Amino acid sequence: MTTEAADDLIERLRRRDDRTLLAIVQEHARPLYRAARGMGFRDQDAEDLAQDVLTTFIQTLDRFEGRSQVKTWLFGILHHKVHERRRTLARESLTDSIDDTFESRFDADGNWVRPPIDLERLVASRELGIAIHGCIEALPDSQREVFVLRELEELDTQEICKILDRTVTHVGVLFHRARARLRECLETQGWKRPA
Amino acid sequence: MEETGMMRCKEVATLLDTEQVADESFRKRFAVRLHLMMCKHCRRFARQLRHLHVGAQSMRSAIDSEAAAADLDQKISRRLGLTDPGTRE
Repeated sequence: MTTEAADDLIERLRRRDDRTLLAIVQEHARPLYRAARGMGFRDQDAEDLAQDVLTTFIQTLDRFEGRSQVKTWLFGILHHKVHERRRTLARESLTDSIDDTFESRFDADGNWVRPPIDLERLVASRELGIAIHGCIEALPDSQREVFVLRELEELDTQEICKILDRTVTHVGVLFHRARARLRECLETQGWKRPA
Repeated sequence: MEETGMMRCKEVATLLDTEQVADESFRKRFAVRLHLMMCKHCRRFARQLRHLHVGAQSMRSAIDSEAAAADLDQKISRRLGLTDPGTRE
């Protein structure tokens, strides 16, 4: 977006132009709902969350200075609302057993001792999506949130860092752990190539 | 276990998993490609990562269908008192 276009958008938002607000609601309600569902909220709760985020956005428009995209700003609000509801922001362990699981798949020289299992059978079918939907339930909240923002919403790492207010390294670790845990889950659920 | 004589599987898997390959030097990226050509286990690992993305996108479509069926965008717009001027009476 050009500087002029961004300034124009901010000006329309500041005077609460109905048409602009409607366009924003219609563009972002679904991604917000989708992310909330991905993070484990039931349909009605996810709908309430999406509406709550958009309401807060409209109420606090004066704080939006256009330094980030509207989408990033909205997902930042969602992040805070999710943690308000879960009240689990405070403590997050620095170590995670999934790191040991990942390490255990290699020998001391860095070669596979427990190679990946082929999941090819599931590709191009709804089964894989359903299987991941099941496995994602077991992810810790912070890993699940990063996975949803990256793989469902396809946001880039920089945007995710802004939304979560975390470093690139931290987001990278959470994403790696989420994917490692999901791969392990899919393998142990028996998604193996038929003998 | 695959021995390629160059990069180790663990290093390749870690680079793929953290999506850092694109940030590496040409030489390192070439080494990753070469390793993948020679190592079926790492190719399978790379495929698993793609499968996770495919699965996530399938999940996304399912949630989108759910939102469309609930007429989510319109419902929230109405609740926020926002209506398209073109549809006002």
